[in-house]
Amino acid sequence: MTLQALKHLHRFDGGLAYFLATGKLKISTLGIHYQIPWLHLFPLAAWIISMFVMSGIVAGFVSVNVMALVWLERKVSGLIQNRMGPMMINILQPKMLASSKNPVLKWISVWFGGWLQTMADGVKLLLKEDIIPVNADKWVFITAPICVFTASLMGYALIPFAPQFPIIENLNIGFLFIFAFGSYTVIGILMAGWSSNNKYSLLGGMRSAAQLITYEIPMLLALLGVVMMTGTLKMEKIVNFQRSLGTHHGHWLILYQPLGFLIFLIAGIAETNRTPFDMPEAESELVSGFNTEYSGFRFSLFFLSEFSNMFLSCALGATLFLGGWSGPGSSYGIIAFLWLMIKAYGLVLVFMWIRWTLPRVRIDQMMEFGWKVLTPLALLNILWTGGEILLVKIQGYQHQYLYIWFPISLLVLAMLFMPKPKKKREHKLKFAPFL
Amino acid sequence: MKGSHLIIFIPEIAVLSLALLLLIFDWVTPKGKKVWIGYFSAVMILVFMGGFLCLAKNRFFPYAASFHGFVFDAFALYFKELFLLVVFLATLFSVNFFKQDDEGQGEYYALLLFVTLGCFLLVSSADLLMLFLSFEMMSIPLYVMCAYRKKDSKSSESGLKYFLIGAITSALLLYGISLVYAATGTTNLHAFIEGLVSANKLAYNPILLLGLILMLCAFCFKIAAVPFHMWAPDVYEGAPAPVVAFLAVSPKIAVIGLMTRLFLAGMQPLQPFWVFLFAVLAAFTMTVGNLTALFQQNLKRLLAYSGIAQIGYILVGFASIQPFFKNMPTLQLGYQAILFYLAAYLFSDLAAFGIVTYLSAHGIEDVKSLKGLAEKNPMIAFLFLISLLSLAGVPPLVGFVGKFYLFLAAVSSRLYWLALLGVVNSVISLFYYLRVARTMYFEKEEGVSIPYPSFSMQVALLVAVLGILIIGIYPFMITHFSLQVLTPLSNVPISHVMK
Amino acid sequence: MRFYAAADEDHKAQKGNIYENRIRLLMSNSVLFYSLAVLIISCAFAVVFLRNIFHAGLFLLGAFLGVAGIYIALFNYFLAAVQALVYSGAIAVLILFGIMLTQRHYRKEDPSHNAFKWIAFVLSFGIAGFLVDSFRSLKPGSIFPVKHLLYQMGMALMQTYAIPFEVISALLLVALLGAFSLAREKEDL
Repeated sequence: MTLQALKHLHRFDGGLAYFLATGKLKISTLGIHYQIPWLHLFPLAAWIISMFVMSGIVAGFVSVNVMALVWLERKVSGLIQNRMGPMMINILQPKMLASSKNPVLKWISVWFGGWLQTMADGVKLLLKEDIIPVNADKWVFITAPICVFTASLMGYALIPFAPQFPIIENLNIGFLFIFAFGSYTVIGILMAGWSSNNKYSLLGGMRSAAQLITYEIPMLLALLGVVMMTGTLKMEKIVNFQRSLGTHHGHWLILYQPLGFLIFLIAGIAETNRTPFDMPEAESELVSGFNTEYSGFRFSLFFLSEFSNMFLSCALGATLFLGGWSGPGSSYGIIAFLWLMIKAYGLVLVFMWIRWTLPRVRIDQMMEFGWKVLTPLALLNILWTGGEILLVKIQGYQHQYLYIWFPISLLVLAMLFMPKPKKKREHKLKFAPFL
Repeated sequence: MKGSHLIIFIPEIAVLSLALLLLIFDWVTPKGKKVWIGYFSAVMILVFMGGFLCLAKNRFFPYAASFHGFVFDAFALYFKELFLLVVFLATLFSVNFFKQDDEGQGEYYALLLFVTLGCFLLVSSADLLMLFLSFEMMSIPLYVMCAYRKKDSKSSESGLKYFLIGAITSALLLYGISLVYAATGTTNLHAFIEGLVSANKLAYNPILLLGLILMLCAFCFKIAAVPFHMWAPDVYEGAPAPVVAFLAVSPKIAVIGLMTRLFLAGMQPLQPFWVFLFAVLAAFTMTVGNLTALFQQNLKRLLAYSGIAQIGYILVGFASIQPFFKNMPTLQLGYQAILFYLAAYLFSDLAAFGIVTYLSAHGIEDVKSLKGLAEKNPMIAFLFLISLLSLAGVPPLVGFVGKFYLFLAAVSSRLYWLALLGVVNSVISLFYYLRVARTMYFEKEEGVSIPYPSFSMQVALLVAVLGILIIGIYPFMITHFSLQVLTPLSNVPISHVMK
Repeated sequence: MRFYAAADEDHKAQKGNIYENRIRLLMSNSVLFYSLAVLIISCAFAVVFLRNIFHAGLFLLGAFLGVAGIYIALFNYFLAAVQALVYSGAIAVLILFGIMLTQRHYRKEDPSHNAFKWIAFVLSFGIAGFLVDSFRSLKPGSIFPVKHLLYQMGMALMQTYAIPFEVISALLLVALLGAFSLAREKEDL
């Protein structure tokens, strides 16, 4: 196989979805024309089968990914807070690895120690007794986790993991779809909170709904800046826009939308119910919030969707602000995929870093921050974007000149978020997030 | 749309900016010193009234222009002047109704202006989308204002009732609009006329008729026509008195104006269907309103039922409208009578409600407690008498002229039974109006005299009562104007007017 | 730098979109439409007849979702997303929220009864029958997608319907103001 052919390996005509929907596989450069026999005679069947296959692919990806995420979460928390379990549990003798003088083994022990913890967790959850409280609203109780999980899965259909690899292509509303069906998470959480017949669950559910609605507004407003710049809602187009901006590997939109990215990040943390905004499941106040009464597999569905939502937020952020799959060598499908994963995982690490560093805020502080700080800032960002576009359209500036906005943006941001000078600190804090 | 086209939106822009300005003033004025906001608002409204009149006289200003479902013409301007008058009087009623240190005064006046903005847009709308939006704009602040006394459970009840009824009304209206859209494929009234005139088939489309009936139901709810009138007395009784004065006049005038535009102009080819409908509605509304008013003890409820009856008289005008000839101006007695009677209703009803506002501030809510008012405060008793007699339709006053025109129109379109019923109803209504007068003048009761009203109230009452007297004696200043307003729906694209 | 350029290209690939071909196929068989219709109508019936108000709210959500499905079947993805975002994401959530805040007797059946039940029943079925009968006279519209849908909608909002669009903003301001002055905890007038 020549390099040229390898380059086109990812290019099915019409993408993965085309293959799944029609059973036709065409790779023009390689001269491959394959069709699953008889399938074209039963278009409805083909369609339904393709739906199932795609759902399976997404669900599989999410499950595997979440395992890695949970492990990483515990790993990061372990590193930050010196927890032992996730650092050590391993098939190999941890002590042997940790005490060895071989730097490679040492590295492995630090970074891969404890990888079995997720497995152990999963097995524990699946083996737990499945309890439905006697006074619970049974059917609502059962449906709630399914609803939450489905909502978190649907967003993955839109993420372009690689060029011409969106699961649903040509959807002209693009990422609006993710938000539209992502809002069903709220419903699921409300259902869980209501049906558990438990006041802590009820409070958790209501807090969650309030929080999600509050932070959805600044998030969508922040993304409006991206839409204004690119003139499209399609994820694929937005990635291509970022690629076409620069000479080489593209100019990420974060350069032009730093404020928008920051708002997106904060709102994303709040939307995924993570500390410092984890009001709905604040242990010290609400036992465990809306999922107090859940156990076993149903609980694991909530758990799973929480992490899959987090990854979805990060993948969305990576696609919209960090150039998506684009990067050196991204013309190879697999490398493009790796680029997206690297960027998304980078954001995931930021999420985790924030979670394990910051304390939880109060509910009224959180609502106030959403309405009084983030929403006006998001509106400001729209104004700002309008200024940028005006600069290009009316002044006829080349895009390089937009770089001038970047330092200005940073300056403004710094001014906005500058803490008021109080007392002098006694000792200097070292910037050491991971150890 | 060019910038110069904005000139036809000047009334709306002016009112909106005044409302926003009041909000800012409310924000910057310290507590306890907010009374001047009301006076400022009243003065600005007066300026607007004069300004719009001058604007209409300006030869550079289009006589009629439309922009995508927004129509500016003499018809709309006539109504806009009426709304400004209503909001002027209502603002003056409210100024001393609130205490010095009350919160939210600026908001209150701003809400009044927002309702007025909704009314402005409603009479200017020639598009169903615009119609619905302005309908909501007109209603939403009123729900809030009805419940403005939060610690008074009756006020809250009134606000909630009005909100529920309003929500149902909006639902009916939307359902009607969707059916009309399904039948005609357009939301634009101009397109309706062309479609209805060219394809006569469309006129007998059952979906269109059902949609129109649903929309008519929604309008009847808003103007409290029988059988959709139940809410009015309850809402009026609980809501703060100046709000009631405003609520009883402005939205009703706006919806009547809209109905005039919609049915007379937009639905002209369907005329045979709705004329009979309006005749029946008018008969029921007049009779039920007047008969029920006979038994009322609470002043606000009495005026509520009297207002229902007044709407019945106006509907007589709708019933007696003759078909336009190809949308050209012809002599339209019914149409002019409606326009005139709206002005008559405005002055009489506002004068009566102004006095009720004043009385309720001194704890007088019932007919019984009016005993000896003629001795306690002869001026107020006299003004109240004049306004009630005008509502009843006694000769030298404006109400008489209005009713005369309406019944004349009914006779001229051969609805003799309706005209006769209207006259009988006027006689019935005299019973309860004179009952109030008898209580004031002939039933004695010892008591302290009631202080004279404040300056703002004096001005407002003077304006209203002078209106009743002057227009009653010299009605041609309005009829002259309503002749000019004859084309109810002018379709002149703004780009044709402005060069 | 090409701002706005992408908007024009949004629908170039419309023709070859296999999903829309599939959906078109389903619509022509009416399978999709009738299944959605059954979903919506059964959900609506559940809303009306269920005595548990929270369940009724959930079924209302189902009906909203079905309407979003109809929009998808008509290729108006934008309206579908807005339907899901506004009706399910905001309105239904607010309804459920309101139920959770106000319902004191937890999960008790709603004891209220409607005296006009049968009149309402006859009247609504009468209107439904009338509508079904008269809608047969209407011409069916095209189920094929509009070109440059989003672009056209945006242009219509900013040009033809500019005035209603502005009125909506004033309306929202009024609603906000009203909600604020009702919910405020200060002394009343």
